Amino acid sequence: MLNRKLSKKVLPLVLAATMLLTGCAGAQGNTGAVQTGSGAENALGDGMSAGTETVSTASAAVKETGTDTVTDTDAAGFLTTDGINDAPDIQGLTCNGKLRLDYAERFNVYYYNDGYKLFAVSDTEGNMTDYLLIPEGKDVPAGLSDDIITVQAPLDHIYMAASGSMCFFPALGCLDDVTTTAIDRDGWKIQEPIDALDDGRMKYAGKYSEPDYELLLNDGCDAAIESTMILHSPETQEMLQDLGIPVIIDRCSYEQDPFGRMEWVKFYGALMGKEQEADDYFSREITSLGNYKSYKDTGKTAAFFSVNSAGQIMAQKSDDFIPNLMKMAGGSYVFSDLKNPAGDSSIVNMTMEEFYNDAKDADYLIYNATIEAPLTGVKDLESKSKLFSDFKAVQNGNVWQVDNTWYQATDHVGNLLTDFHLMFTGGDEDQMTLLTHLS
Amino acid sequence: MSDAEEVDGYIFQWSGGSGRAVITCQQVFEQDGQMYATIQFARSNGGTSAYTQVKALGQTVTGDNTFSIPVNIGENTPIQALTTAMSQPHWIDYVLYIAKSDGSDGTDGKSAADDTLDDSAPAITGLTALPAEGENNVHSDLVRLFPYEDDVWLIEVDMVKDTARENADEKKTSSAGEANEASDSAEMSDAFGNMEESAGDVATDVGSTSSVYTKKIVKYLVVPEDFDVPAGLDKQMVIIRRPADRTFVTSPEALKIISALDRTEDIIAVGIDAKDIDDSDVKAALNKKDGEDGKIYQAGTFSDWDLKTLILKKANLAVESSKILPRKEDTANQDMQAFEKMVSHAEQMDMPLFVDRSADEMDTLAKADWYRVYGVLFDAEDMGESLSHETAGDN
Repeated sequence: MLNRKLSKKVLPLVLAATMLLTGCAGAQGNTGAVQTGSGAENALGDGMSAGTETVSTASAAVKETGTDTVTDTDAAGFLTTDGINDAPDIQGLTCNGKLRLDYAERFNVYYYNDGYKLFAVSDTEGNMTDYLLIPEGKDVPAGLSDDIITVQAPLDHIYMAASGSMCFFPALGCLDDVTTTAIDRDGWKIQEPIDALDDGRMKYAGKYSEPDYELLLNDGCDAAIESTMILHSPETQEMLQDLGIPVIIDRCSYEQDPFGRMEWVKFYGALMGKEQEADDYFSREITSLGNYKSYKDTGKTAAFFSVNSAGQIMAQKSDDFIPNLMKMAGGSYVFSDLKNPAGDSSIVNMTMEEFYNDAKDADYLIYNATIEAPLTGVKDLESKSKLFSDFKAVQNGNVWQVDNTWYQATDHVGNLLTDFHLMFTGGDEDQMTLLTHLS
Repeated sequence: MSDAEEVDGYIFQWSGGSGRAVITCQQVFEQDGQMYATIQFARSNGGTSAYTQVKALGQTVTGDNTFSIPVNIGENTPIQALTTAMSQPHWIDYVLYIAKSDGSDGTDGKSAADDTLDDSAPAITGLTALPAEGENNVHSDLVRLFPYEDDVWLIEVDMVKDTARENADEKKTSSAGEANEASDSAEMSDAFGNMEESAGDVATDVGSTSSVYTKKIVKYLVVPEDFDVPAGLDKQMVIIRRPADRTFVTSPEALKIISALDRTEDIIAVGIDAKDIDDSDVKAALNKKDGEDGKIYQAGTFSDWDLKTLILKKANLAVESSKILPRKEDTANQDMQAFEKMVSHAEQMDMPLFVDRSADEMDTLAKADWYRVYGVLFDAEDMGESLSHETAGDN
């Protein structure tokens, strides 16, 4: 007899298997039974042990059928048939599943017969870019639309130019498949790429806008994972594609939900044939956050901003990653309704005066030292504008700073969540890993 | 001369960076026996830069986008400038060239016209033209060749005559111009989403060179291997550094001339059908094994280059068939786009693109000029000269 906790995980596996076998596209694959992030928390409630138990059952099921393709008979909990009607039509292929996602909104992965997978990535305006992963030994489907970018599996010579997503590769156990990078050793804050560059497993191949094509060709580069900065260098993107190196544009940093950002581990899991590892990793990370759902609203407010060389304030729009994270952490972002009228970007520019009007009474000021140089102290901030001395947070000694380490540690978004919570509750600063209290 | 500035009786030119910043010169002055220049950095779209230090001639100067630094006169001054625009300060390399502007460059001071071939060696900042030869050997309306001191040559090619562009109303090159104009805020927002990627210069890699290729007259400056090209010239002309010993040829006519010059050993790849090749050495080289010494590789066609081969074999000059130029009015736009794409590839591969128009010459005398041109490109000037005379029927 299955114990009650175990059955909550196994049931969706059985349901998914049944639906895949019978091709029943209309069935509700993931209502209730499938574990969402919060669902897992509630069901398992008190810690990791139960989670580990159920997770290993799922791994066992997949190991039997092979890990780099999902066949029709896989009883894979990371797939659902819900929404597969949205799958792009591909001549000669049938969609039979879709990657189960609980938070991410910028991508979907559709599974077709014979191991073909389609990665659909959207920008915040709904423009789609499709990538079709061609399984090892298989061909590009005849008549495939020119708009779909093909990527040949297995990928084992990746050029990584999206620094925020490098972390997923060691998390999935496939850092060795990233053999070149656009960021040199000095640009890395996380240890794994630093070690790989130091011992020659990874090579610096020039920055994203000026790659060393010869090095990439000699390395046998089979894909370039780029940030949206490549859109400012269309010639480079074109050249890579003309050389037969598909360009995959990462949009992890455009997720507004913090867990959505971390869920991109599943995008890369699907790309690398490590879906189960990705699923396990994601569940573990959510669980390890403990009872973040019980964080009470402290009523405190915080601003998150930087000052550029023209003296303008660069703040985040309200419905975005950092403000959402603050809410989860028991505080709130000082701007409740700040929008970016110009489109996709997270950043809203404003004058110092406008910022002063809305943020002078914020309990906390957090300086964003990811695009601007870090502040050396509160005086450094005050030197940027006389108005800062009138801010409540400055007067109360509540000026903080975050540097660009967190940006590369997307896989541990929980750390920033915990840090914010510690800040809002006046908790132990020594436990913080990403936030610094300025004096 | 688009970027030359005149200040205090001096010409100021510069190269380097990635197109995001522009440098202007406020003042040139002497102090304690050393010449100085006051330079200012600004964003090319008019915004404010964030340069805080400049290193020049062993000195480091701090400032706020404006710096008075020691400089050389009449030779390049390499500098490094520190930008703090992004989260990590970055040093960016630039080169300055400052010289007296009293026309002491051996010409009559006439500056190069933009849309017609010059009749005599134009003034080029930092270079000295050699006196013209006694008789005027020039017959071609498509190419000109001028010698300068220090074994430097200027080749001018008319890219428009006898093509679909000849009577067209030339608008500003669209792809180069507009693609570059990512606004500051779009850039910064991408920057926030993409940290280290955006550190340093964010500009697209299409500098002003592509606009050099789309001018009506394209200027090629052929220089010796270690020649220090005066800064700023790379914005006005294509620099071809000798030896061009890994040439990619897609023009059968140019191949014949190179063959006559006995310089086929300087060819690494061709984009020509074997049946259109007469030279037996080239044919033999094509048949050699991959990696064998002296091998010549097939690398696509004049309109479809095999980029991989060209990059892996490190081609350092492309001699492209003039078939790439737009011929028919109704396809002129697509043809120009295809040409610009080819230019973009060539630039990213650091490979100058020389368009051979010898096939477009109507008369033998004009064709003869091309022997001298290729003689210069392939370090066979004497042979080029004599073949030219021979072809022209001179004794």
